[in-house]
Amino acid sequence: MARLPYLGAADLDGADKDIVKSGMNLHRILAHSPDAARCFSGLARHLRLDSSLDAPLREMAILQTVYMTKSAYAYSHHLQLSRNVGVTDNDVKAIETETAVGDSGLPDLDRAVLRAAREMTDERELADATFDTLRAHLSTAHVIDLLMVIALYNSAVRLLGTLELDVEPAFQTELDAHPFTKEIA
Amino acid sequence: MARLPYLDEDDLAEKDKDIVKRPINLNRIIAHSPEAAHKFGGIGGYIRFGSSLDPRLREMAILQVGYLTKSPYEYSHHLKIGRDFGVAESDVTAIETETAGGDSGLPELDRAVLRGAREMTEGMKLSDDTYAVWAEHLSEAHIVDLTMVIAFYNGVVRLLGALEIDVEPEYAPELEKHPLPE
Repeated sequence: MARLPYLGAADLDGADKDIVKSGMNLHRILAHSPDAARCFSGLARHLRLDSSLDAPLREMAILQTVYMTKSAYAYSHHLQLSRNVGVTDNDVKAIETETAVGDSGLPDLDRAVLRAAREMTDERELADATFDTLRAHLSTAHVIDLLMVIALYNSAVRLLGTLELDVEPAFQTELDAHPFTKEIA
Repeated sequence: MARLPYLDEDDLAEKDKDIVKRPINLNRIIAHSPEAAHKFGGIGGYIRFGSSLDPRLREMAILQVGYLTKSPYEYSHHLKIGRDFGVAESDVTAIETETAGGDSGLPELDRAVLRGAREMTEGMKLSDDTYAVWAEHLSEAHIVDLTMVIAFYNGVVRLLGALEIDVEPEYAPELEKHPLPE
């Protein structure tokens, strides 16, 4: 069980009920601080729904970040979200391969996106070669959006881990299909 | 030099000029993606001005993240901001002591905030002992806020590092007074 009680619409004032509209455990916990919930979701939603950054690349960056940090909650959710925007099972395998420092055969940019997520997560910086590949393919706005996605999910996994959020049953099946590999687990 | 050019008001559309109203280098870089900058600033603004979490504790948590991750930009800025919100010189020394595994003599909650920041930064979670102290002293809303502060600044230091954002000359003296560990 999570460290705080999950809230539902009945626990919240009229104006705050929208926070838990998704029914996701993350929103049901953040709702203890409604304005915090709103600003956090505001950035996450912007990056997911409004940014013109390529959606599969964005999801690959997220999957890499949360796979490396072993965040069961974030990984299970983004396995599903990423599939909805075209990330394939092969891509998910590629992330496992690249995390184990193998060559997945993905295109240059895809590999650089995954490498960027690993470098930022582990080292909090980017190698010159990684940045140069990103910059060769992406506009400055998309570079910012991509790096912000990776930064934000480094925040998210800590929030999820600290508050010990439970994976909802609907998402548990995602983890069963793609368990963390032994090296990661 | 940073990895992208710093932008100023003149480079931005009318509706986006407010992003660099506080012309710190971080804002001047994320302005390359104005909507993202607005939303990112929304979290920072909530943390600093919207939350009712004790501001000194909040700044202690932020300083602990910056010190532990050796982020010159984050640490220098929050040495100054922290002072404005009641962080004393002895608190900064206490962060150094606690990071090195010592007992600073700070009150239990202060120590648990610093320990929580270190645990979350390094292990992505919080020990039961640390959480028990938070829960004893803080409301549920403040627990969420404190968790978000520490989580958010773990993102911030990565953005700063990845984009190689430079410490501005007016913040550099902070680091001379309080150098980061080697």
